[in-house]
Amino acid sequence: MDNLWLVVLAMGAVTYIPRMLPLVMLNNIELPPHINSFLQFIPFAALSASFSPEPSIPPATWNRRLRAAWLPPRWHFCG
Amino acid sequence: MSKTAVTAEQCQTISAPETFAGGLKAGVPIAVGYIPIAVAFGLMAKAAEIPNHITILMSLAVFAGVSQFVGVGLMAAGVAPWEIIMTTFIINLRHLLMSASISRRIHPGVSKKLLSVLAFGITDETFSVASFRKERQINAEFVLGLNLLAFSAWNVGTWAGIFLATGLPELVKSSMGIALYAMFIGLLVPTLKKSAPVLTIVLLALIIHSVLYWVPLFSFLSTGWKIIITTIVAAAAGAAVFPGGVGE
Repeated sequence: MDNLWLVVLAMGAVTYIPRMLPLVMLNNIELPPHINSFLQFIPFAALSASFSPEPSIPPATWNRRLRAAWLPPRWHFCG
Repeated sequence: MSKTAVTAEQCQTISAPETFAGGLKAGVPIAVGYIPIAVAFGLMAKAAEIPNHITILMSLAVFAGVSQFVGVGLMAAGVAPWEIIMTTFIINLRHLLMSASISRRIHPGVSKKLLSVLAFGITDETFSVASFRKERQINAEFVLGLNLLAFSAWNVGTWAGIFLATGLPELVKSSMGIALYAMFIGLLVPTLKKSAPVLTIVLLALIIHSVLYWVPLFSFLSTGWKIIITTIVAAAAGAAVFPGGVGE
């Protein structure tokens, strides 16, 4: 997948622009407190959303997968 | 970047002189905090079967931890490029606030060229160290040293993680999926314990994301959009209830 290069470069660009604009323009923008805390909360919400175990997998299956990953291989044949 | 606790070290870093070397010195606690997270990032990317050059390029070009973890997860899930880029943009939009705040305190004589280099290194941690300085005006050389050390640690850590993962036995590699959840806990719990608003937002995001998954009405949404929508709705609801932000 060669386009992963482009995806990563685009990720870099969209990350750099908000970092760069206020500083280079020497622009001290004042945002209302709600916007301020909205932006602060985003990484936490994004982390929880993207690492939440996929609920479409029933919990029973999920547990079995967890056990399979943790236990030594020979145990797999016992259950 | 993750919310590593730097407060304990801030007392020391405040005393570092306003020079490039002083910036490097003030960056040591950040570097120490970044290395294990970056190693975990390298391990996770390897476990998700992301090509090494892509992982290395990501730490070089993006340099923002949370978005890199999420980005690698989305890539592994085969999410469309536009959704990955959009999610990255949303997660990292907060740097706008930090950049604006630093712009108020940086010496007015600094060239735009240097400012555009300094801007690249703005993370939660470098920002908090730079803005906790006693001096009203922050020296550009100091910020350069600080950011450079943090950036180097992040990249060295990433390489170390990839290298470590390459040497791991197959069994350990196959259980790296679990490490992902450990990582998630490691990134969030320190802040969760200190911040009721963050705890609320994390739980809210989990609930919203589950609803988007379970309710058939939302089945037309792709994985990427489910994450984008969850993020925006949870953060917006949180902001409506807690206008004071994280408020540790």
